[in-house]
Amino acid sequence: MNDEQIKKFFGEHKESIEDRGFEARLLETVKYLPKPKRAGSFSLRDRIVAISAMTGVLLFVLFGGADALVSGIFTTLSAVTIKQLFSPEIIATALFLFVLLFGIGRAAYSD
Amino acid sequence: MAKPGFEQLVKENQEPLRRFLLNLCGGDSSLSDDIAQEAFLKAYLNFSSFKGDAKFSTWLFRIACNSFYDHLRKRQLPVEEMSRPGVIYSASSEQIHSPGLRNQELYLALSQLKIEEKTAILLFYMEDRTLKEISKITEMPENTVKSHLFRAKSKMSDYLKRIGYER
Repeated sequence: MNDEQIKKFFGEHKESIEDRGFEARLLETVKYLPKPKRAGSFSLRDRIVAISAMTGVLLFVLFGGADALVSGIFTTLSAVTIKQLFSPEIIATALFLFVLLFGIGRAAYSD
Repeated sequence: MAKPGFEQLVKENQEPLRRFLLNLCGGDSSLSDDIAQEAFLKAYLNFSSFKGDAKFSTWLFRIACNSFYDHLRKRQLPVEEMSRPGVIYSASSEQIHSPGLRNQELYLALSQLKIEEKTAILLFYMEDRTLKEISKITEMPENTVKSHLFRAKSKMSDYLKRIGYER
């Protein structure tokens, strides 16, 4: 059976599909849908998140957040290295930090 | 996108899309219409992601194909089972050749194919799509589409010979 015969077979079985209310049902459903997103437009939630993030970065830079962070890390490391590695404060802090990061990660993933 | 513009797109594309899905679903018109409706609604809501580098109908068919595959996955049906029109197997060869069952003849022939082969052959012969368009719709490289098409033609040819199709 050649290509022409297969084409013929499909041609013979090509049926026209009656509307049977499909278009009306579809357009009726569209009436109740929210307006589609335009390209480059942001929702209110996106805007709030962006503004909060920018404010946070600005405050961090203005109030010397980077210096405070670096010195904080060094202080913590030196405290840990000077024999207080398994003190209850360090263990509790590490545990809470882990739980916090896990929670944030999970929330971000489920979003 | 404005609603009048969308209405026009529905008018132009609903028939080929519904026919393609009907054949893909083995003649289950309520399922194919549900998938077609879902595809149109997704296209409406996500029109901003339509880049315009292909025709709207190509993009719409791609959404519809993905919805169809999602449906198969949700129902966890083997693809071959899904596209098999069970009733047909009890029909005699005389019944199959009667005009009333003409489309059943097509569904039965298509049920011999894997889903990718069926998609490729329907788009190529029934909907007159080019290889490039089929490649975009199915998100497969053109050479893969060519091989699916080749295998589909060969299987259909064998099947049609077997049932004595001669017009």
